[in-house]
Amino acid sequence: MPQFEQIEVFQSLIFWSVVSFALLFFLLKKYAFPPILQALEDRENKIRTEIGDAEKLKQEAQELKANLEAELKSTHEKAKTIVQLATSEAKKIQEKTLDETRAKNKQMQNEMEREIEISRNKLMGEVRGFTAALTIASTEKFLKKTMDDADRKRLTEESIEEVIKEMQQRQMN
Amino acid sequence: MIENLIGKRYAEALSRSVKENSLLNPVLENLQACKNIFATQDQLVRFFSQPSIPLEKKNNMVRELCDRLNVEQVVCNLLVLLSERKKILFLGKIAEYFEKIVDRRLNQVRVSVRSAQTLSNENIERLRSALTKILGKTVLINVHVDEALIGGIQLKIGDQVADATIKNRLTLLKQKLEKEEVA
Repeated sequence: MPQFEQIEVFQSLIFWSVVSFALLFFLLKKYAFPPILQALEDRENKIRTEIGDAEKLKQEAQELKANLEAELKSTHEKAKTIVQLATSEAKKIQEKTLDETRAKNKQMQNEMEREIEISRNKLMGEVRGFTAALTIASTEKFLKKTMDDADRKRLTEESIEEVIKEMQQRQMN
Repeated sequence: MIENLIGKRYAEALSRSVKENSLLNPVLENLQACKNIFATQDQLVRFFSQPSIPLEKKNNMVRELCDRLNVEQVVCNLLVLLSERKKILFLGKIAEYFEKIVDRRLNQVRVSVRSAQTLSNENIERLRSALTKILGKTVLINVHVDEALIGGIQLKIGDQVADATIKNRLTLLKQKLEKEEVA
């Protein structure tokens, strides 16, 4: 190939090219690469730290999330308990009120019954009183009308004996 | 209360000053007569309870009263004493207690009899002899006729009562009727 046939021409050029490249490489390695490499390394380190931070943050966030969830759960439970308590309390109050009302009704009923009983007794007492008074009055009238002097005399004598007997008994006692 | 105390004290004093038992009844009668006058004459009560009338006048009034009623000397003395001590208005109580004291000293007992009809002498004698035997004391019987009793008699000796009247029986019957429960 004709291109390779000219190698003789460019032989020095190749040599110098290699030399200058080597020199350049050496210079670069000596002066330019270390800062670049340092910068790269710094960056890498930074990125790595940031990734670590991010992971830490993520972990923290997860922990926080878990905590929050747990808290939420406990809050839910608490709320549930409170509702239950309130419900049972309300129930108790309701029952108590019901009982009280029942007791009150019962008491009122008893009082009414007692009052009715008292009124009834009073009325019956009055009726008895009137009946007795009437009976006694008519008996008195009847006796006054039907008793004659002989009866009265006999009664007086009998009652004298009765009274004497009573006094005798009392004296003995 | 104070009336009873005063009555008792003066009655006992009067009894101590009357030594002879035979004088007791006349003294008691005098006392009761005076008491009756005070009970019936309001003016007399007002005269003695009036503090503005001088004591001398009151004493004179007492003496005049004694003269008119012709009372025993002890009774007159008592009345003057009572007037001086402003206790003449307790005469009723004094007479009441004196009567009890007289009864005790003479060993006698007063029996008040309420009867529906007038008691015959035999009735009264029967009562007197029986009660004398029972009580062992002289019995003084005082009879009131009360037609409201319907029949029978009621006896009252001190605070004891023996009732055998129709009225009492009817009252007992009435009480029983009133207490009886209606089934």
